[in-house]
Amino acid sequence: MKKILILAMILSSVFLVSCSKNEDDKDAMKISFNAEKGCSKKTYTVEPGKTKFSAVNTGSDVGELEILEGKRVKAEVENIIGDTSKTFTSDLKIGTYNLICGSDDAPRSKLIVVGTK
Amino acid sequence: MLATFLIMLREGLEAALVIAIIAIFLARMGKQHLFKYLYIGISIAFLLCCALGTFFHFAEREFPQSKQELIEGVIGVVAVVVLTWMIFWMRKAGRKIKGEIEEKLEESISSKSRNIEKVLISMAFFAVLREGVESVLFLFAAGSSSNALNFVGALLGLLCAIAIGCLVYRGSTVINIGKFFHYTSIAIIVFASGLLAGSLRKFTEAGLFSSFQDKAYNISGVLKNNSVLGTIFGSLLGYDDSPAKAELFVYLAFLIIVLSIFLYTSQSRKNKRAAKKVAITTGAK
Repeated sequence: MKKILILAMILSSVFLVSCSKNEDDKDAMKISFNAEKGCSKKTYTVEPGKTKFSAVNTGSDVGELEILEGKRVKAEVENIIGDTSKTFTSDLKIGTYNLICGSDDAPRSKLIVVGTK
Repeated sequence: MLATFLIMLREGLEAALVIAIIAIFLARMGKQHLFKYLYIGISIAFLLCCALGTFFHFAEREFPQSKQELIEGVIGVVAVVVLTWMIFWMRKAGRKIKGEIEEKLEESISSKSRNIEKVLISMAFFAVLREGVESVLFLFAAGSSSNALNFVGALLGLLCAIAIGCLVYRGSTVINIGKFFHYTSIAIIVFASGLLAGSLRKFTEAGLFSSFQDKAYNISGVLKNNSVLGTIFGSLLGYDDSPAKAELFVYLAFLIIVLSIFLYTSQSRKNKRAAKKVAITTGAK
């Protein structure tokens, strides 16, 4: 049991260290979505590098937001209850990404990463 | 309310079913006295999750989703291995004591069983840890949402999951006679297939895997994932209304291979035993 506990402690501390503090929600790139209708905009544009996103569920259904690099999931937040939001950070390179807005069935949006950085 | 209910039901069931199966194994081994360690393991994991979840919530930390998916995937795969291995081990151990009373099972396998106990109890611990932190955060989010029913739904979902876990265990002990363990094992193999496909999805969500992600089919018109029945079938049998091809393949491959080995070996053993019996009776004549 001791070994298990130690392993669990290590797991959870790795977990804790790996998360960043949400100090500046205002700087976050806000993406509003509705699980049925998708995102409020067709395209979003950000600069390359680490970007903080705030996924705001404006609908009443629970939804998720995913950034897809081709078919690979680059970043995601799920189980966002209606009228609430979650933030996440992703380190993005120049290019075009697909956004799953709310659910698989909802229309997708694009995330374009352009800039000089 | 229904949406939050179903999410917590699903997350809760994943842990509750693994724990119920572990309890079935322990009971079958005649190790009911170890249930207290099971409870201790589950409680420690539960408290750890509450502590971590509360920390994330109040320190307003960003939840490391992709790492969480990775942990869930790894624990899921480990659970599949442990459950599958236990099914075959139980059958072998059960055969060894053929002719003896079931209580003696404990003695005949005591040397190996201590390690197995540890594996089983830690598996229960990790089953709770797997979804726990995210669930605690989800409860916080539901609690702070404008609609109070969201929180009620989430809490009810969690309670229902625990209740179903208890029912599965009770059901297995009440009718634990004769061939029942054979059918329980088949049910566990189906459950493990779903768990394995689910783990692959976790790896996909963690960004580690991205091949064959086209949907194999879409039968959401028949039974939706986010309906009550769809959620329960999803947890019990690994039902998915629109699985990715890779997940369907893993599900079917595991199910067909393990189930055939299980059925084939039990069949061939039965034949051998029957052959022995014939030999003995004819020899006696």
